[in-house]
Amino acid sequence: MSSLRISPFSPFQLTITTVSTIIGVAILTLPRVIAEEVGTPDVWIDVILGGIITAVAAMICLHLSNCFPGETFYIYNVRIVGKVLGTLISVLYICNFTTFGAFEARVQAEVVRHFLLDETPLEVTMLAFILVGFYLVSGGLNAIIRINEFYLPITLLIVFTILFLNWKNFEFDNIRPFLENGPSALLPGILPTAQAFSGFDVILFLVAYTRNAQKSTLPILLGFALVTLIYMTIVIMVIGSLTLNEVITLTWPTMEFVKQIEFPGAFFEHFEIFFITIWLLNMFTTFFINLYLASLGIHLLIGWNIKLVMCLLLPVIYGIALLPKDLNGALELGKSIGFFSVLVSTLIPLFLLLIAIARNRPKHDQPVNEGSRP
Amino acid sequence: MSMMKARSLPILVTLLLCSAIVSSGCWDRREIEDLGIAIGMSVDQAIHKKRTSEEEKQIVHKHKTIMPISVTYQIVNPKIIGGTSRGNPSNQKPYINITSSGDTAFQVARETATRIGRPPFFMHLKIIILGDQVSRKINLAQLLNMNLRDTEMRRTVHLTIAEGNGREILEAKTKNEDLPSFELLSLIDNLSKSIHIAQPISIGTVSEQLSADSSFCVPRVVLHQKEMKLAGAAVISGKTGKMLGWIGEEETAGLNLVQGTGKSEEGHKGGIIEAVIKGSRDPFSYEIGKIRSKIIPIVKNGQLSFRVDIKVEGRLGEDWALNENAFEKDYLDRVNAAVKTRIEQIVNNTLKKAQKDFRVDVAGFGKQLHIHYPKEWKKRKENWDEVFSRIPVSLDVTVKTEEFALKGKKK
Repeated sequence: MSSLRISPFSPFQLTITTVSTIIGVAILTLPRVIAEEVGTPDVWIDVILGGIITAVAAMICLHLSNCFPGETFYIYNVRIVGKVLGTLISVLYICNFTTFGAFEARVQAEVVRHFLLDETPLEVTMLAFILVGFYLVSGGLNAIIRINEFYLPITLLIVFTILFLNWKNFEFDNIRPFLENGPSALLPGILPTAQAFSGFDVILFLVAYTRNAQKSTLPILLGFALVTLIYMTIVIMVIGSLTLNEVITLTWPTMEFVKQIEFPGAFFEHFEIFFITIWLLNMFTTFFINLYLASLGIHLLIGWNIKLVMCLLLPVIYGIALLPKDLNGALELGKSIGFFSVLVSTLIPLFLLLIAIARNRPKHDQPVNEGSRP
Repeated sequence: MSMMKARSLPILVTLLLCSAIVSSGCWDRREIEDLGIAIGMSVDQAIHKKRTSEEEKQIVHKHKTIMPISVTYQIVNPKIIGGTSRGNPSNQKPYINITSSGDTAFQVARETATRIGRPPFFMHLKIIILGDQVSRKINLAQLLNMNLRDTEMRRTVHLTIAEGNGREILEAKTKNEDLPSFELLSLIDNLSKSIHIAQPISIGTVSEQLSADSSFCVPRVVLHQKEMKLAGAAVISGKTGKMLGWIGEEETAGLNLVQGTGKSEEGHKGGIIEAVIKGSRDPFSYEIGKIRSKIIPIVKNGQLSFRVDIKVEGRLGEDWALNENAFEKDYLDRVNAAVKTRIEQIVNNTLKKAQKDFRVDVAGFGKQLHIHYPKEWKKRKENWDEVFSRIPVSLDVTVKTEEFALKGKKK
């Protein structure tokens, strides 16, 4: 552990990292994915429900980690369920992070191909993305957190600017009628939105390095509120300006929405370049955190040097990212990864927490002293 | 420190070499001078020509059930338009029009590459003009499919339908602008000046309407003595995506009144309504400032009807009735009543045309029914256009004259 040289960070930084991990490629297709499932314009309610459900799951992760102060999930799961099962769970998480990182790299390349570099091969853009990610991640966890802190305000600025500039295309009539098929029609949309929130399980691994980790509850909840707000406003605005029927037919509805902003004759006639840039950064943050956590897991399991592990992971990630044959394959991969990720990151922490409570573990390690530590 | 430097130097050199390899081979480099920037395009029916050989006819066009299309691209001629001197010594036109024909739009666009050194680049396409022949025969969702699919295209491109060939509009004489496409675009912007100009529509909106199976109108552009005029509209059926026919200038005014002023600046509607006070012979012009309209569906005992509330505010802009006095409230009341009668006439005329002649809902009645009575909508949505043509629509027009400009009476 000492070889990692991680200096502890604040609950605020933990929140920023969690938010950066959650915000990734999902938003580009989210309006279409939920609209397909639900079929009425009130899908934004699903986003709120998805946000609440995942926030509860995140609270479980946080509480579980707080039962084992100073220890990361890869270490303490062994203490809860034993060596074999614990290692198995760790491997599951490592696989999850690796494939998730690969998926981000792939979709990033698809977006770049569609909207920026038409002729550049996918393989090249992906390679550049992965290598830059490796460079950052080899700088350690603190570098990652610093970068996230730096990106998030820019992201918020660009997102809300875009929403504001699109106001004239928004028509309130397009998001009505309200609940035309009754509340039960919303149910199928909850799973896809919950998938859009996947990535919050970084909490399990980062709480160990957080100062005053007990005080993270409120910041994390605020972070979830922020992500929900971003997702919800984007879904409302996209459907309100493009109409539900149209959104279902579009590959990247959010991009089409952004492309509607035009300033004829101005220096920047088109605005989407800012959005693509900022969203590449967001996919990048999601990617490198996943890469880091996967390497951290392998490092802690078999004790190899973490930089060596990262180097070895790069070809694996690149290979997985190349697996999907076409765009549909890539989107399909996203769906299954999202499903897997939601399953893993909600159910496993819940089970572990129940077992830990049943064994009365938290009583012994109740971190009363921890909280008072300066 | 020097140790560190000594170790990192080879890495640095390697990275620099790598970057040289990567940055020199940019796949997507496009020099702006080498782009043929297309500003406008038109789609027409191709004139039937004999297929070159019997064999080609069978192999290539076996799948064809529709006729080939002829597409014209208007490309900016940078030599003339970007030149420092506005004078035009070579007498060249500031644009290049290139026409090509084929079965699908993408194929036609690429076909031009065999004939022009800088084939059209669509990132800055602003307007599409469809010929009426082609719009009557081919679904707009098919005609515009490439424009909605290609990543170089944008959904904000304006759409108009030309009486006759769209290509002739791209060759029309210009007055203010250098390019006919720009001239047409500035006409579209004049919506706030004339009520006879139909609400502008982008291809994105067209696609939205078609994916909801709802009918709509597209502004009409007419060529008159080689000059273009934008007035009236083409009616497009949402079910088939094909053009049904024209509505004239006054019917367009009626449609504008029913739809009201949109939220965006683009949708701001204005214009003049001419009317005569009952018993008088001298007309006056009422300048519309604001139109606020609301379509209200009413369901009573299972019977569906609509009421259209139209609230118009404006000013008395011109008055030929010299013996009248606008300083008197009574006179303005009579003006309001006359405008109200006129608006009712115009709107009823439009509704009659839509319900009896075309049997389609182009003003968004269905959408309001969907919003307020989802269950009633569900029962009727399958053949809504047909159902709508039999539903009674009543009007509630309120006219307010806010002012009468600088002169109120003759003496």
